[in-house]
Amino acid sequence: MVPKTDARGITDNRTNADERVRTIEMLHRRYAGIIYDLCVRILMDRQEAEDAVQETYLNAFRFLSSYRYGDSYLPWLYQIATNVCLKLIRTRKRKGTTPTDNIDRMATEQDDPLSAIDTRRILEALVGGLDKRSIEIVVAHYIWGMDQGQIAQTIGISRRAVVKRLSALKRRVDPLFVKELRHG
Amino acid sequence: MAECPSRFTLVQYKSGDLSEVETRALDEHVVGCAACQAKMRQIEANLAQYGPKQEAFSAQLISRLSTEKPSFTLFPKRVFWALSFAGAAVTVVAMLISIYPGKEQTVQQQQTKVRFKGRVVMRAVAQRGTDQFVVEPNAKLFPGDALRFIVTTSSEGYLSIFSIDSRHVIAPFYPDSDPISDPKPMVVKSAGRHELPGSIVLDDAIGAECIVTAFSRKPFDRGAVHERVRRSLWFSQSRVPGPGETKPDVGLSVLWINKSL
Ligand SMILES: [Zn+2]
Repeated sequence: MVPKTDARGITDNRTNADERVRTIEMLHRRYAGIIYDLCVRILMDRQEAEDAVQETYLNAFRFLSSYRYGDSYLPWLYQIATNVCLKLIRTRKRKGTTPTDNIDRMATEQDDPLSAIDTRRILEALVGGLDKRSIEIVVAHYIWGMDQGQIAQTIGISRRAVVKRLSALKRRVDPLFVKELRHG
Repeated sequence: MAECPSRFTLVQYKSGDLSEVETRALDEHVVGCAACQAKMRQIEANLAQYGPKQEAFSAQLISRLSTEKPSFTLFPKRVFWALSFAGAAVTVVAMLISIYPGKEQTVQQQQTKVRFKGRVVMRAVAQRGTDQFVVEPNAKLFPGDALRFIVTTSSEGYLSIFSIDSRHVIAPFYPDSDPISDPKPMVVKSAGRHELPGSIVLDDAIGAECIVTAFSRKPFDRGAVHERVRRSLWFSQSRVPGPGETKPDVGLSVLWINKSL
């Protein structure tokens, strides 16, 4: 069988173990820095973000067959990374450990209002009370600013379902972000 | 693009995952938007932080993978058809996921023969005095305008940017050395979007000029590629070299400009 190569020059090789390892290695080379950026943004801790990147790629390897050939790899990796980060936040909340917050937030907060928000604290407050899917939608909408179409595609639910969930979440989640924005 | 793109879209932009049209629209927006430039700087700072550790983490990951057994269960998400276009060579891949209730899903794939050549998209930003703007195809430019180049590549590889002016004289831009004495192209260490260092100041040769970026996953002889592109421009009336006119594994991105006084 001829390996398939998509428009981004990425070869879909899931037929044998070596090829799967090579695919993950290639995805690491291409996207690890980007995934690190996503993890830092959610976890606000560089050490934890590095661990989360490794865990993301291990999970990507385990679930390589869930990748839909022809789609972009990035939303797929992003989705795995988000869930790795949320799991870390949940675990840490359960253990009662506080984040180290070693991010230099002051340097950028004038330019980007979101960088002044402690997204992590908000997510910690939400993970106990919301289901997994809702939290994924909160991250996609409030942190990444994805539109409804992007959220639907990334999470793999219908647009209508995204709209429904978002309007249900709005009253609960909006104030958390607005309050943080006001007080930094 | 009036509204600022999402942070996620900027990440896709940075990693070179957007289409040429989307990337062009973002180039336009980001050049004139301080907020998006700040977000880009943040993304770039995080990339720079991870960069030096990348190799070590990759090695660590590979050694962990060797002890892993992957799962083959497909997530029951949705049935879809995927079309993929690889440059001039069209790859059509149809993937059918059949769902058997209570059983694992199976994947059947059909495909045509696949050809791939190094894909590259080049854009230029011009600086004239204090003005900065994205160079549109057939843009009217002046001698003295300085061009900065942004290339997005589909993988790591080798690159050469050069121009062919109305007299069919070749000027190497990146690398800027003479390709006869130094045929080696520039090394591109990763896939994605790269802003090339420095800028190229346009000379005073007037008329149509073709700026070409040649990219390949494998090293190539710059002089030979330059010559092939020049010949195809010289002999054909078509303004853009077609597929097959360069070495098959060299991808081209071409930008025509018009220089006047
Ligand atoms: Zn903007």
